[in-house]
Amino acid sequence: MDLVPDLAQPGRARRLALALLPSLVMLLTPPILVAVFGDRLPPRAYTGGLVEFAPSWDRWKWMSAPVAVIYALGLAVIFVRWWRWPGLQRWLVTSSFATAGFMAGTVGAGLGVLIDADGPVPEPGWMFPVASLVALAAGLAGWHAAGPPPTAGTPQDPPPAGLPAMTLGSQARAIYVVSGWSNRRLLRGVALLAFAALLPLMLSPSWPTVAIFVMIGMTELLQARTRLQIDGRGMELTLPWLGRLRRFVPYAEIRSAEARPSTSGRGLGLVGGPRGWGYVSGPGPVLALRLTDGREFLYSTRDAESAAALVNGSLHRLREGTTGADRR
Amino acid sequence: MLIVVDPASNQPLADQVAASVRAAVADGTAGPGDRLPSARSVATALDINLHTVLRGYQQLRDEGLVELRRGRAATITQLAADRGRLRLRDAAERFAAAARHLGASDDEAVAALRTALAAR
Repeated sequence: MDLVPDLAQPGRARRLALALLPSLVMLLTPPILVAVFGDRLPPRAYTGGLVEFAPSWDRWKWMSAPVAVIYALGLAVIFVRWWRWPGLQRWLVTSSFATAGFMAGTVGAGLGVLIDADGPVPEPGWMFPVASLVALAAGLAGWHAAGPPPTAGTPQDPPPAGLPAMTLGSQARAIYVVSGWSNRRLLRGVALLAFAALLPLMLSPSWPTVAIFVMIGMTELLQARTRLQIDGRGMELTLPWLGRLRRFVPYAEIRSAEARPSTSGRGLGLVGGPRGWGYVSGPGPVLALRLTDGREFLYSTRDAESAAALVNGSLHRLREGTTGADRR
Repeated sequence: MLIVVDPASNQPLADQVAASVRAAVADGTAGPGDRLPSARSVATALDINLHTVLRGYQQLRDEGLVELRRGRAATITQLAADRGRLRLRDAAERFAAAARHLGASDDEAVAALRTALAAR
């Protein structure tokens, strides 16, 4: 039985429809434009590329169809993968609207300059800025159409009985600090950087390909060191090597905490996936926080029991007004 | 590493900071080479004076449990490997806190301890 409530359920069907709708716009924009302006266009589609290879309008109007279909499928896969993450679904809708807006802006402007022209017309300089503005406006429209993601509200119930909970006096204050180190991430980062360095020797890739490997390698490498702090405000995770990038979770977003003997670190990170986020650096005890968005925060620390006890003790004090000693 | 202070306690806050670190070493959750959180972050999170935290850290340095260097994080020394001694001290501190809480005098507390030891 699934004990975690599906918080993404309200409005999910609408967000999915909104995420896929722009692909339809990408698919139908060229044929609609050709149908409307067809009799005022030159004989061939002189829209980018070499003039001598310009296709007929009948062929051109469906040329972007495969891209639109692949884009829709990709979006659907991502959406299903993060089925329970409404915040990410809102971003998917936004990016989908923006992408379709950019595409429609580019196609519309490219075709617009050919209206009443007898032959090829050079691509105007305003095309890219105009398409970018259309993308921005469409993205904003998508953001508003998707609406704010549903929230669980602040949980009122204390952590369930049976979980470790520290006895905290009414005035007691506590801080738990631990630093983490992931050999796995370090090795992965070094391997990717080495691959990026060797790539030009083995093949002759374009510089963006090398840059992508360097970027991914550096991102992995710089996430090898982490720092966790739990105090009276909540939990804060910091990446000291990545510009002290941090993510803060207040107690209002935590249901309970527990210590696990070990767990897999697959699919985790600063953003994470449907299962949760965090940093598990190998076998050993893991602090697991159950969050109100239905996901978990997982972090490797040999003293996971104390960390979990502090979180639960703080939650008991906040939600019950008890200090732990009262619960005995 | 967990550091807990209770302003309602009779024990000075600096002693409570030091006792938390000692307890972490005694129960094995902190070991030689581990870094202590910066005094500033501890002071901010616990809403106590920075110098109070530093006094607690200095106690640990005087005991040889922590190495303090200017501009560098405080680290736990190799002495921390002697966990038996630290456990004993931690237990003694908890006993002393309980004795104070119960209002026992020093003589009464020591006598109670002697009786308990003699019974073993």
